[in-house]
Amino acid sequence: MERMDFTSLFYNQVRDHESLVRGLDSLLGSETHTVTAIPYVSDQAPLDCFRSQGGKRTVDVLSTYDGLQLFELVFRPPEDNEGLVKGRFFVAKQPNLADAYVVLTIESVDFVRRALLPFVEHNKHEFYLTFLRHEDLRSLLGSFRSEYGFTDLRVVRASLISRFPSERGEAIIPSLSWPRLGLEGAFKYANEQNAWFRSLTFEALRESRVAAEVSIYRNGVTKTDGDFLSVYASLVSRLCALARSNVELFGHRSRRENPDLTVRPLAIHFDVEQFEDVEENAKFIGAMRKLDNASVSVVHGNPYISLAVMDYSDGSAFDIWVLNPSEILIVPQFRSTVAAIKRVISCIFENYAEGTIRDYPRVG
Amino acid sequence: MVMPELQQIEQQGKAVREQIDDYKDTVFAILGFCSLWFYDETTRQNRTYVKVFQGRRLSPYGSGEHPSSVGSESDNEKDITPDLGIVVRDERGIVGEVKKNFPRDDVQRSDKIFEQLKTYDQNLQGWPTADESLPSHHIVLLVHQTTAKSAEDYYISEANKGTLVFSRPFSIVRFNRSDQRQPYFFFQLAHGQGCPIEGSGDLGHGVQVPMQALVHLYSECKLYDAQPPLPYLLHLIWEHVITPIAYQDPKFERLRWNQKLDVNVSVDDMLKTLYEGFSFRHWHLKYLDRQPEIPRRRWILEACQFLVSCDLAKWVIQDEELAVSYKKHKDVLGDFVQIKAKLDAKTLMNPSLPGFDGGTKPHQDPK
Repeated sequence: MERMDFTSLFYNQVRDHESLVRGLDSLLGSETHTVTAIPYVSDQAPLDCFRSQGGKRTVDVLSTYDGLQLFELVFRPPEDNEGLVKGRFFVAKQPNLADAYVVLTIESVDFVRRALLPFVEHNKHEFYLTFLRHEDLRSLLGSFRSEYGFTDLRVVRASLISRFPSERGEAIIPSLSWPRLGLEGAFKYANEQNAWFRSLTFEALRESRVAAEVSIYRNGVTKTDGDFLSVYASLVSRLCALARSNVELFGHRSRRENPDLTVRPLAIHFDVEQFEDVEENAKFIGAMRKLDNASVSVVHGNPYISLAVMDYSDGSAFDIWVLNPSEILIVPQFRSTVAAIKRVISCIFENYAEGTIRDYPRVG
Repeated sequence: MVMPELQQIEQQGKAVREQIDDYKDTVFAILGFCSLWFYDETTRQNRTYVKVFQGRRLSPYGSGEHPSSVGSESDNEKDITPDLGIVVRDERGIVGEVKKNFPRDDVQRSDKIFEQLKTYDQNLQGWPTADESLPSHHIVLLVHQTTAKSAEDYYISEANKGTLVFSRPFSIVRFNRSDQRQPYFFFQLAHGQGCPIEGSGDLGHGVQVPMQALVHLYSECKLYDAQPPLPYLLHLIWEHVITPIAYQDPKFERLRWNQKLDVNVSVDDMLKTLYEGFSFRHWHLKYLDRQPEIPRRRWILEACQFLVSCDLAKWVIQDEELAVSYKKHKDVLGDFVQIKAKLDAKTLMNPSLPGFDGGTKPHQDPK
């Protein structure tokens, strides 16, 4: 008897957001696939974001539905002896969430890694991906576990960043581990290592049965090989909402967008007195100097910090101040894009410490 | 003994950094001192009945003269431009001068500062009030805590001799930046009658203004009406005027650290951007007429000339348009401090005879 081709059936049956989500759930129950979801926010429609712009990657629109498009992306590797990397992906508009979308594909890891994610990265001015703080990740996964009645989430692979004391003060070291610990245990482990997670791969357990293996990355990219409905509703949709709330918080911060060129700063607040010890100043300045493709000038370094940061990726400029042991202030200057603010904050979170981001309103 | 070159450069670099710090502290002092009047801590609102200004041109007139006779349009050499001015309820005014480093044992410079303050001790026309005049005003000298004693001693000594008399209330206020866990500027009356501040603060006992409370203001007002240290001004120009123009070039995105890009920029663009972005313009939106345009054209021209003399730019049209050989710096301010320090060190190590100076002069006292 001929085996049913569920994948072709899936592509033929998808017509809208709901049929896409249900179709992916059904497909993962029938065939071995991994769905990769890339939640993002953009002020441009998918047809404008996903278009060929020359170079090694070309995009074609295969189908267009209401709030949903199917694209094909082809990557031509520079070496002639390598074959084309080709695959299909959907872009679904998130209902009730302005400018929020999710890219969904069942294509191979190779396609995602070499074709799709580099396309998004290359056109980063058009896509805003979120970033997940360590604590956000803990609360997101905690909700996922309880809402869908999983016995536990067993962390099988983790990418961490640890702070180690070293001869030259303190070193920030990325590492990989395979802890095979439950959710609480994994976060306790990270805490003991003075580390925070960049990505996690876990098994969602129902009793001893593995319902799905799920990976979640700091930029919101999520992969699963099962239980798609729960992963989508509890993780992917929330990551879209998180990306959207970041954009709302980071948007319209540039002085050029504000009346009379007034500033609209942001604050990163720490629950502890992060800068209590003056040695933290040098650590923080060192962390900021890791900001790629940027100028970082120290206007004042001790005892308070005043930095001028210029992001060459898109010409954004910021003043950064530490005038209080538990707060970093980011003051966007004339030009400041959402992406550049995210880069600065990611740099702080990745290389220094994570805090809570807030508006820092003007008084008076 | 001649200091080794590297040591000399390092010393000059430190000196430039100190100049930048002094300049910033002076701006913070102006903002902080004025905020004692315009900001109401209880309501967390600005007081609508307080007006503040920086560098405003005020015109003295004699006691027998009518205020309108001094005119308002053009600069008069007798006009004064105090570092700060405050008007409360359109009834009383304060004019102040900030001298972070009051000279010690330098009578000539001390004389000069008080001569300047004496010019404030006249009827003044040009206040931001309906008829541009006020019945009275107070004069304040703000000096750093470390030099306040020198200012006070000088004043008392001259006053006792009868050579220095103010007919209007005069005070010396000391300030310092306290580098505590939450740095703040501290203002305290050092001498004189004091000028009662609004609200519950008492200048006699001293008042603290946290720097954090001034971040919004400082981010918008980095330049006052005194020439900033050259590397600091160049840093503002490079980041906020030249880089945005360079960014428009399609080649910018792929520009490597060691590559250069030709960028044309006009002096007017520099003036406009820095005026809109970093002068005290926001304070003067409702009374712009007597406010100077900051930065001064002369400062910008000196900054441009510095770039030209360092082979970082060429004049396309002399004093109008510059062709900058743009490169991406990893530390814009640090690099300009270093360039300036090297030049200053070179000048110090190879002094030239007067009239034979072909290079850039070290930074002069700004006012």
